[in-house]
Amino acid sequence: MRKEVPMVLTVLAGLFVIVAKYLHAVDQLGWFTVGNRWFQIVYAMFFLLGVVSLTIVHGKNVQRRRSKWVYSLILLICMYGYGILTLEQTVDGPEANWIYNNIIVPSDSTVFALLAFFITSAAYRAFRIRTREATVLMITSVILMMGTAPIGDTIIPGWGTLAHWLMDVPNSSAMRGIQIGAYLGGFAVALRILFGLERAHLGGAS
Amino acid sequence: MPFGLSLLAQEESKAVWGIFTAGQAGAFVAVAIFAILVYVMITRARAGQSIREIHKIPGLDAISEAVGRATEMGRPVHYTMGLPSITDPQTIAAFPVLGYVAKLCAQYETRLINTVPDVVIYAINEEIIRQAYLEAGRPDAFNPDDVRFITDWQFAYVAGVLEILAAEKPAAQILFAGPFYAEAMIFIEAGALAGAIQVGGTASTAQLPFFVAGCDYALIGEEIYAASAYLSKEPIITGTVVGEDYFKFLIFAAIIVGTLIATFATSNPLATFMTS
Amino acid sequence: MQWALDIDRRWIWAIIFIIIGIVIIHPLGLPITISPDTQQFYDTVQALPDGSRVLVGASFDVGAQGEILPMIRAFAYQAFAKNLKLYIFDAGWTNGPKLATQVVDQVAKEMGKQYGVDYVNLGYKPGSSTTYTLMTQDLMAATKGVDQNGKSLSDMPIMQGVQKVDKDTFALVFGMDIGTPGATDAWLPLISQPTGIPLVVGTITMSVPTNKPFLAAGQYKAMLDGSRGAAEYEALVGHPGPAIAQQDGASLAAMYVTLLIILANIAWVTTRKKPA
Repeated sequence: MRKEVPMVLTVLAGLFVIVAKYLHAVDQLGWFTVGNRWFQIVYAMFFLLGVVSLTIVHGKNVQRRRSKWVYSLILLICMYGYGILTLEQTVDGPEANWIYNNIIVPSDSTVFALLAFFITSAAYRAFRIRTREATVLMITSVILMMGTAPIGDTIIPGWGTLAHWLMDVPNSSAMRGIQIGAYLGGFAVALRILFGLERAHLGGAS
Repeated sequence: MPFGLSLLAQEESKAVWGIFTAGQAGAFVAVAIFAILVYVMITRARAGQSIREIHKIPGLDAISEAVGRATEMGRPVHYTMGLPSITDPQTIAAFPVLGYVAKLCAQYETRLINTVPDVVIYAINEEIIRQAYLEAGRPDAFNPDDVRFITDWQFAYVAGVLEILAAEKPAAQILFAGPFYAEAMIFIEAGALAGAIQVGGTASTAQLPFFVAGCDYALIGEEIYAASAYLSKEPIITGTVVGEDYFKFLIFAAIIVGTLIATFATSNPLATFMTS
Repeated sequence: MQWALDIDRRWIWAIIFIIIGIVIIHPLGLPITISPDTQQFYDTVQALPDGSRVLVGASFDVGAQGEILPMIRAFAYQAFAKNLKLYIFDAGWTNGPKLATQVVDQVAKEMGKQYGVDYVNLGYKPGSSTTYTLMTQDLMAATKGVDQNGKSLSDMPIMQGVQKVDKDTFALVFGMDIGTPGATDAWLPLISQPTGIPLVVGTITMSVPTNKPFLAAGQYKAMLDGSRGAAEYEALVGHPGPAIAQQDGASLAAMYVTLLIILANIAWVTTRKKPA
């Protein structure tokens, strides 16, 4: 029963979405929108789980004075502190806004900026002419990198046009193929769930 | 009348063929054909009739090699799904692979760290890993603290994973299956810095080049959706993948016919039907 | 050449940090050519009748602000010069509308435009696909009747005559695409296609390959391609800004990475063991 009940619920929910989306008479009742709202409410309840998980993991770190426990303490103070603050003055309150603009925005941008450094070292590590395919990948990446920056056209006029052509023609064709395949694959997974063949999300390795 | 119903009830639109929602008739027919093809293949597989096999996917074969390496080195395995969502098919495709990895880790007595930026997925993953340990006969080895919800904020999650990769130095990192965004490249390079063998797979097209260039083994696009069939070797599930391939031929035919009509005719009845 | 393969990554990072730092202090001012994509974007906006309404889909977050905000800034200059009315909104990204409005506020101040008359921040309203769809049926229900700061929308002159997002009311949707939801899965299928309102898109460099097929198929009327597209657009509207300033850094970074790739390959070829 542990797996059967959730499986039956999943199949019923899947059929509900199909009926509510495709059949005009049911669509007019607006069940799809109501179903979506239920989903949002259930989803919101799960946030409590996240808070509980963080509290347990980092609470244990602090309690047992594990290495770097101070960071766990800071995390707990920030999480509960910001939560209480925004409950009191909403997310657009003056202090909440100040924290957002002066702490969250710069920290987020900083971590995003790491990407520039990591891409640089990854290019150094990964782009090797090991095989014919790897050579094509490397040459294409250099053409695009230089062509999408003004330096490409400055060195060789028309470099940017070549980069645009690569993006517009070979890239778009390949992307379409991959996207069609990926959407179909995704749909096949949905059908497997609907037919009760895919059960991994209910737990276990099989 | 609940909120939402009253709003939508004001919007009267005409039904296509008296049955379907406007704009959905073509899609419904396509979905129905696809479902029938998949059902036929499943029935053939159930009856023991021959169906095509899935080609070799080196990336999936490499998972056991990666877990084995972690076992030899006495270091953990890190599993990330990127920024998963229960409404994304890529995430659903990742669950069987997580279960497979967890079972391997349980059998090899290797620690598995799973970091999660989504609360719903966190609950599901914990259950999947717990069950996998149970099926492997080692329920006591399951440590719930190794399934970690970090935050649902993308770059805060990235920071958390970077700390875990630097501190725990996993010998293997599995990035499967997404959706992945800007965090993918950071994880791949940080994994390389930690000395981990990396197996990645995603259908997030913007991140595919990074997976191909940065991971030791990469699964691209629809390969990820064949993972559960490939790993389970179950003919019935394989039937769904074969059905999908047959449907692809129909799509190719529709593309060719549509292109010819659009090029040489003044009106395109195929396009009109699909958007009816 | 083994040293080149064993080089500490921190040297690679330090050099790129120095290179970009230098061009920020001393810009090179390399000329920027205008690509057909950006010209098409500019022309599409320019062709709108004066005073038209434009829905600005602020589907982005802090991480992407470096590429997206210059697009919105330049767009605000072009839009306000044509007296277009801007409605900033999103139902998937909590911070997008707030960040976009901060930039539009600055341009509006410069051009003498008023909040509530020439532009409005309808805010982030949760609900994702449900809320996007609801906008095409009842905008007041989708926005809960208030702007980002809780002010009543019905009191604002800009909202007079606006019941819902449809072709009669809005002339254009300018949607961003940096992830999910974005132009491909929200602004196109849920807003532009059902209503027939033309869609133009702004995307980050990383997402350009994924979005290109939609532009080629004509589903997007025009697209700004990442930071380079934003720089070209700034040049076209005659208000050079942060995107143009970024281009010198991008140029030198591209050259540096190209040199690194060449160096790594020379080192790899010269040090690899030849088969016996």
